[in-house]
Amino acid sequence: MKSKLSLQFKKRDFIIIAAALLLAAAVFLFFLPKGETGRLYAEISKNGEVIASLPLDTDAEYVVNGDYENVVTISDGSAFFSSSNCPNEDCVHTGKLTKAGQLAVCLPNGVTLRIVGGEGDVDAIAG
Amino acid sequence: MKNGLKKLTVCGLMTAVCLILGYLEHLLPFSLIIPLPGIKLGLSNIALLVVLLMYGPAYAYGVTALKCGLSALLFGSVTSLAFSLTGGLLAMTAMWLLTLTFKEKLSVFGVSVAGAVMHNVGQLSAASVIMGSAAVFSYLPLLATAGTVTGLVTAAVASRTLHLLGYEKDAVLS
Repeated sequence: MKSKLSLQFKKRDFIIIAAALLLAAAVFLFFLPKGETGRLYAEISKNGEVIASLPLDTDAEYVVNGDYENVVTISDGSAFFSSSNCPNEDCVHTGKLTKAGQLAVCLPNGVTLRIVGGEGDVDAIAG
Repeated sequence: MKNGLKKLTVCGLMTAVCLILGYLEHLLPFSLIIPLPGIKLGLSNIALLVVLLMYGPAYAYGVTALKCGLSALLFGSVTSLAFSLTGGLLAMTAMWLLTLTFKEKLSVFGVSVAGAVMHNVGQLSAASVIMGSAAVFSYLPLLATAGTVTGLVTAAVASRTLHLLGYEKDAVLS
Protein backbone atom coordinates (compact mmCIF):
# COMPACT_ATOMS: atom_id res chain seq x y z
CA MET A 1 0.00 0.00 0.00
CA LYS A 2 2.02 2.93 -1.26
CA SER A 3 -0.66 5.51 -1.96
CA LYS A 4 0.74 8.14 0.33
CA LEU A 5 -1.42 10.95 1.49
CA SER A 6 0.12 14.27 2.44
CA LEU A 7 0.26 15.10 6.13
CA GLN A 8 0.27 18.82 5.39
CA PHE A 9 -2.86 20.67 4.37
CA LYS A 10 -3.20 20.79 0.56
CA LYS A 11 -5.20 23.10 -1.68
CA ARG A 12 -7.42 20.22 -2.70
CA ASP A 13 -8.52 19.77 0.89
CA PHE A 14 -10.47 22.97 0.42
CA ILE A 15 -12.48 21.22 -2.30
CA ILE A 16 -13.50 18.49 0.14
CA ILE A 17 -14.39 21.05 2.81
CA ALA A 18 -16.34 23.13 0.27
CA ALA A 19 -18.17 20.01 -0.92
CA ALA A 20 -19.11 19.11 2.65
CA LEU A 21 -20.43 22.59 3.41
CA LEU A 22 -22.21 22.75 0.04
CA LEU A 23 -23.93 19.45 0.83
CA ALA A 24 -25.01 20.89 4.18
CA ALA A 25 -26.33 24.04 2.50
CA ALA A 26 -28.17 22.11 -0.22
CA VAL A 27 -29.90 19.83 2.29
CA PHE A 28 -30.71 22.84 4.45
CA LEU A 29 -32.40 24.59 1.51
CA PHE A 30 -34.22 21.40 0.59
CA PHE A 31 -35.76 21.13 4.05
CA LEU A 32 -36.53 24.83 4.34
CA PRO A 33 -40.23 25.07 5.16
CA LYS A 34 -42.30 26.26 2.23
CA GLY A 35 -45.75 27.13 3.50
CA GLU A 36 -44.89 28.86 6.73
CA THR A 37 -48.01 31.00 6.82
CA GLY A 38 -51.20 29.91 8.45
CA ARG A 39 -51.76 27.68 11.40
CA LEU A 40 -48.93 25.45 12.52
CA TYR A 41 -49.46 21.83 13.35
CA ALA A 42 -47.43 19.33 15.32
CA GLU A 43 -47.24 16.22 13.21
CA ILE A 44 -46.42 13.04 15.09
CA SER A 45 -45.24 10.06 13.03
CA LYS A 46 -44.39 6.55 14.06
CA ASN A 47 -42.32 4.40 11.69
CA GLY A 48 -43.02 6.75 8.81
CA GLU A 49 -46.78 7.00 9.25
CA VAL A 50 -48.47 10.13 10.54
CA ILE A 51 -50.44 9.13 13.61
CA ALA A 52 -51.51 12.57 14.83
CA SER A 53 -51.61 16.15 13.64
CA LEU A 54 -52.35 18.60 16.40
CA PRO A 55 -52.75 22.39 16.06
CA LEU A 56 -50.05 24.28 17.96
CA ASP A 57 -52.49 26.89 19.25
CA THR A 58 -54.46 24.38 21.29
CA ASP A 59 -52.80 22.98 24.40
CA ALA A 60 -52.82 19.20 24.38
CA GLU A 61 -50.99 16.10 25.48
CA TYR A 62 -50.47 13.05 23.32
CA VAL A 63 -49.04 9.72 24.42
CA VAL A 64 -47.23 7.54 21.88
CA ASN A 65 -46.91 3.90 22.85
CA GLY A 66 -44.53 1.38 21.36
CA ASP A 67 -41.31 -0.15 22.60
CA TYR A 68 -41.15 2.93 24.81
CA GLU A 69 -43.64 5.56 25.86
CA ASN A 70 -43.25 9.16 24.70
CA VAL A 71 -45.40 12.00 25.95
CA VAL A 72 -45.75 14.90 23.52
CA THR A 73 -47.02 18.11 25.07
CA ILE A 74 -48.38 21.12 23.20
CA SER A 75 -48.44 24.31 25.18
CA ASP A 76 -48.10 28.05 24.46
CA GLY A 77 -47.60 27.50 20.74
CA SER A 78 -44.78 25.00 21.17
CA ALA A 79 -44.60 21.23 20.91
CA PHE A 80 -42.09 19.02 22.69
CA PHE A 81 -41.40 15.58 24.08
CA SER A 82 -42.17 16.27 27.73
CA SER A 83 -41.20 12.84 28.94
CA SER A 84 -39.99 9.52 27.63
CA ASN A 85 -38.71 6.28 29.08
CA CYS A 86 -36.29 5.64 26.20
CA PRO A 87 -32.55 5.15 27.01
CA ASN A 88 -30.94 8.51 26.17
CA GLU A 89 -33.99 10.78 26.12
CA ASP A 90 -32.50 12.74 23.21
CA CYS A 91 -36.07 13.50 22.21
CA VAL A 92 -36.76 15.25 25.52
CA HIS A 93 -33.41 17.11 25.44
CA THR A 94 -34.21 18.48 21.98
CA GLY A 95 -36.49 20.97 23.70
CA LYS A 96 -39.42 23.00 22.45
CA LEU A 97 -40.31 23.27 18.78
CA THR A 98 -42.08 26.39 17.63
CA LYS A 99 -41.24 26.96 13.94
CA ALA A 100 -42.26 25.12 10.81
CA GLY A 101 -39.69 22.54 9.75
CA GLN A 102 -38.32 21.89 13.24
CA LEU A 103 -37.93 18.28 14.18
CA ALA A 104 -37.46 16.15 17.27
CA VAL A 105 -36.84 12.45 17.04
CA CYS A 106 -37.05 9.47 19.36
CA LEU A 107 -35.03 6.88 17.49
CA PRO A 108 -35.55 3.98 19.91
CA ASN A 109 -39.31 4.35 19.58
CA GLY A 110 -39.31 5.28 15.88
CA VAL A 111 -41.20 8.51 16.56
CA THR A 112 -40.75 11.89 14.89
CA LEU A 113 -42.35 15.12 16.00
CA ARG A 114 -42.36 17.77 13.28
CA ILE A 115 -43.85 21.21 12.95
CA VAL A 116 -45.65 21.73 9.66
CA GLY A 117 -47.51 24.70 8.22
CA GLY A 118 -51.20 24.30 7.62
CA GLU A 119 -51.71 24.81 3.88
CA GLY A 120 -55.49 24.61 4.01
CA ASP A 121 -55.76 27.90 5.89
CA VAL A 122 -54.47 29.97 2.99
CA ASP A 123 -57.34 28.74 0.83
CA ALA A 124 -59.79 29.33 3.62
CA ILE A 125 -58.74 32.97 3.84
CA ALA A 126 -58.83 33.40 0.05
CA GLY A 127 -62.28 31.85 -0.08
CA MET B 1 5.53 -13.74 8.81
CA LYS B 2 6.96 -11.60 11.54
CA ASN B 3 5.68 -8.61 9.61
CA GLY B 4 2.11 -9.90 9.59
CA LEU B 5 2.25 -10.60 13.30
CA LYS B 6 3.37 -7.06 14.00
CA LYS B 7 0.55 -5.62 11.90
CA LEU B 8 -1.96 -7.81 13.68
CA THR B 9 -0.66 -6.68 17.04
CA VAL B 10 -0.76 -3.01 16.12
CA CYS B 11 -4.29 -3.43 14.74
CA GLY B 12 -5.39 -5.00 18.02
CA LEU B 13 -3.83 -2.08 19.83
CA MET B 14 -5.57 0.40 17.53
CA THR B 15 -8.92 -1.33 18.11
CA ALA B 16 -8.38 -0.84 21.83
CA VAL B 17 -7.46 2.81 21.23
CA CYS B 18 -10.70 3.25 19.24
CA LEU B 19 -12.77 1.80 22.08
CA ILE B 20 -11.07 3.94 24.74
CA LEU B 21 -11.48 7.11 22.67
CA GLY B 22 -15.11 6.18 22.03
CA TYR B 23 -15.62 5.66 25.74
CA LEU B 24 -14.01 9.01 26.61
CA GLU B 25 -16.37 10.69 24.15
CA HIS B 26 -19.23 8.86 25.77
CA LEU B 27 -18.33 10.56 29.06
CA LEU B 28 -18.44 14.06 27.58
CA PRO B 29 -21.94 15.44 27.95
CA PHE B 30 -22.06 16.43 24.30
CA SER B 31 -25.64 15.28 23.85
CA LEU B 32 -26.78 17.75 26.51
CA ILE B 33 -25.38 20.68 24.52
CA ILE B 34 -26.62 19.47 21.15
CA PRO B 35 -29.18 16.72 21.67
CA LEU B 36 -28.49 14.73 18.54
CA PRO B 37 -27.14 11.20 18.74
CA GLY B 38 -24.82 11.84 15.77
CA ILE B 39 -22.79 14.78 17.06
CA LYS B 40 -19.48 13.77 18.52
CA LEU B 41 -15.79 14.45 18.11
CA GLY B 42 -15.12 11.20 16.30
CA LEU B 43 -11.79 10.72 18.07
CA SER B 44 -11.62 7.06 17.15
CA ASN B 45 -11.23 8.13 13.53
CA ILE B 46 -7.66 9.11 14.44
CA ALA B 47 -6.78 5.47 15.03
CA LEU B 48 -8.74 4.35 11.97
CA LEU B 49 -6.93 6.86 9.76
CA VAL B 50 -3.60 5.66 11.09
CA VAL B 51 -4.45 2.03 10.28
CA LEU B 52 -5.78 2.93 6.81
CA LEU B 53 -2.70 4.92 5.85
CA MET B 54 -0.14 2.58 7.38
CA TYR B 55 -1.60 -0.82 6.57
CA GLY B 56 -4.18 -0.27 3.86
CA PRO B 57 -7.91 -0.90 3.48
CA ALA B 58 -8.10 -4.58 4.50
CA TYR B 59 -6.77 -3.95 8.01
CA ALA B 60 -8.69 -0.67 8.26
CA TYR B 61 -12.03 -2.32 7.47
CA GLY B 62 -11.22 -5.04 9.97
CA VAL B 63 -10.53 -2.56 12.75
CA THR B 64 -13.66 -0.57 11.82
CA ALA B 65 -15.88 -3.63 12.03
CA LEU B 66 -14.28 -4.77 15.31
CA LYS B 67 -14.61 -1.31 16.81
CA CYS B 68 -18.31 -1.09 15.86
CA GLY B 69 -19.09 -4.61 17.07
CA LEU B 70 -17.21 -4.31 20.35
CA SER B 71 -18.48 -0.85 21.24
CA ALA B 72 -22.07 -1.97 20.57
CA LEU B 73 -21.41 -4.96 22.83
CA LEU B 74 -19.89 -2.81 25.57
CA PHE B 75 -21.92 0.39 25.50
CA GLY B 76 -24.71 0.00 22.98
CA SER B 77 -27.48 -2.07 21.53
CA VAL B 78 -28.47 -3.76 18.27
CA THR B 79 -29.78 -0.44 16.96
CA SER B 80 -26.57 1.36 17.78
CA LEU B 81 -24.63 -1.40 16.00
CA ALA B 82 -26.65 -0.77 12.82
CA PHE B 83 -25.89 2.93 13.12
CA SER B 84 -22.21 2.68 13.79
CA LEU B 85 -21.67 -0.01 11.14
CA THR B 86 -23.36 1.90 8.32
CA GLY B 87 -21.64 5.10 9.42
CA GLY B 88 -18.26 3.47 9.97
CA LEU B 89 -18.14 1.44 6.78
CA LEU B 90 -19.36 4.32 4.59
CA ALA B 91 -16.81 6.65 6.17
CA MET B 92 -13.99 4.15 5.70
CA THR B 93 -14.98 3.57 2.06
CA ALA B 94 -14.98 7.32 1.38
CA MET B 95 -11.58 7.76 3.03
CA TRP B 96 -10.08 4.79 1.22
CA LEU B 97 -11.35 5.88 -2.22
CA LEU B 98 -10.09 9.44 -1.71
CA THR B 99 -6.68 8.16 -0.62
CA LEU B 100 -6.56 5.89 -3.66
CA THR B 101 -7.62 8.63 -6.09
CA PHE B 102 -5.67 11.66 -4.95
CA LYS B 103 -2.66 10.20 -3.13
CA GLU B 104 -0.14 12.96 -2.30
CA LYS B 105 -2.33 15.68 -3.85
CA LEU B 106 -4.69 15.47 -0.89
CA SER B 107 -3.93 15.44 2.82
CA VAL B 108 -5.29 13.69 5.87
CA PHE B 109 -7.35 16.83 6.52
CA GLY B 110 -9.58 16.47 3.47
CA VAL B 111 -9.82 12.71 3.93
CA SER B 112 -10.79 13.08 7.59
CA VAL B 113 -13.49 15.67 6.81
CA ALA B 114 -14.94 13.41 4.11
CA GLY B 115 -14.90 10.51 6.56
CA ALA B 116 -16.69 12.54 9.25
CA VAL B 117 -19.40 13.78 6.88
CA MET B 118 -19.95 10.36 5.30
CA HIS B 119 -20.21 8.89 8.79
CA ASN B 120 -23.13 11.25 9.41
CA VAL B 121 -24.70 10.43 6.05
CA GLY B 122 -24.45 6.72 6.84
CA GLN B 123 -25.99 7.13 10.29
CA LEU B 124 -28.86 9.23 8.96
CA SER B 125 -29.47 6.68 6.22
CA ALA B 126 -29.74 3.96 8.85
CA ALA B 127 -32.03 6.22 10.89
CA SER B 128 -34.27 6.98 7.91
CA VAL B 129 -34.62 3.25 7.20
CA ILE B 130 -35.50 2.56 10.84
CA MET B 131 -37.91 5.50 11.02
CA GLY B 132 -39.35 4.83 7.57
CA SER B 133 -38.98 8.51 6.76
CA ALA B 134 -36.38 10.75 5.17
CA ALA B 135 -37.27 13.59 7.54
CA VAL B 136 -34.22 12.82 9.72
CA PHE B 137 -32.01 14.10 6.89
CA SER B 138 -33.03 17.61 7.95
CA TYR B 139 -30.39 17.09 10.66
CA LEU B 140 -27.67 16.68 8.04
CA PRO B 141 -26.81 20.40 7.65
CA LEU B 142 -26.01 20.67 11.36
CA LEU B 143 -24.25 17.30 11.52
CA ALA B 144 -22.20 17.87 8.36
CA THR B 145 -21.07 21.32 9.49
CA ALA B 146 -20.08 19.95 12.89
CA GLY B 147 -18.42 17.00 11.14
CA THR B 148 -16.32 19.34 9.01
CA VAL B 149 -14.97 21.06 12.12
CA THR B 150 -14.39 17.88 14.15
CA GLY B 151 -12.89 16.21 11.05
CA LEU B 152 -10.25 18.94 10.84
CA VAL B 153 -9.50 18.67 14.56
CA THR B 154 -9.03 14.89 14.47
CA ALA B 155 -7.00 15.23 11.25
CA ALA B 156 -4.55 17.53 13.05
CA VAL B 157 -4.01 14.83 15.67
CA ALA B 158 -3.78 12.08 13.05
CA SER B 159 -1.30 14.12 11.01
CA ARG B 160 0.99 14.55 14.02
CA THR B 161 0.63 10.89 15.02
CA LEU B 162 1.45 9.66 11.51
CA HIS B 163 4.46 11.96 11.39
CA LEU B 164 5.77 10.57 14.67
CA LEU B 165 5.24 7.03 13.42
CA GLY B 166 7.43 7.84 10.43
CA TYR B 167 4.69 7.68 7.81
CA GLU B 168 6.55 9.89 5.31
CA LYS B 169 9.77 7.90 5.58
CA ASP B 170 8.51 4.46 4.56
CA ALA B 171 9.81 3.23 7.89
CA VAL B 172 6.23 2.48 8.81
CA LEU B 173 5.43 0.23 11.74
CA SER B 174 6.26 -2.86 9.71
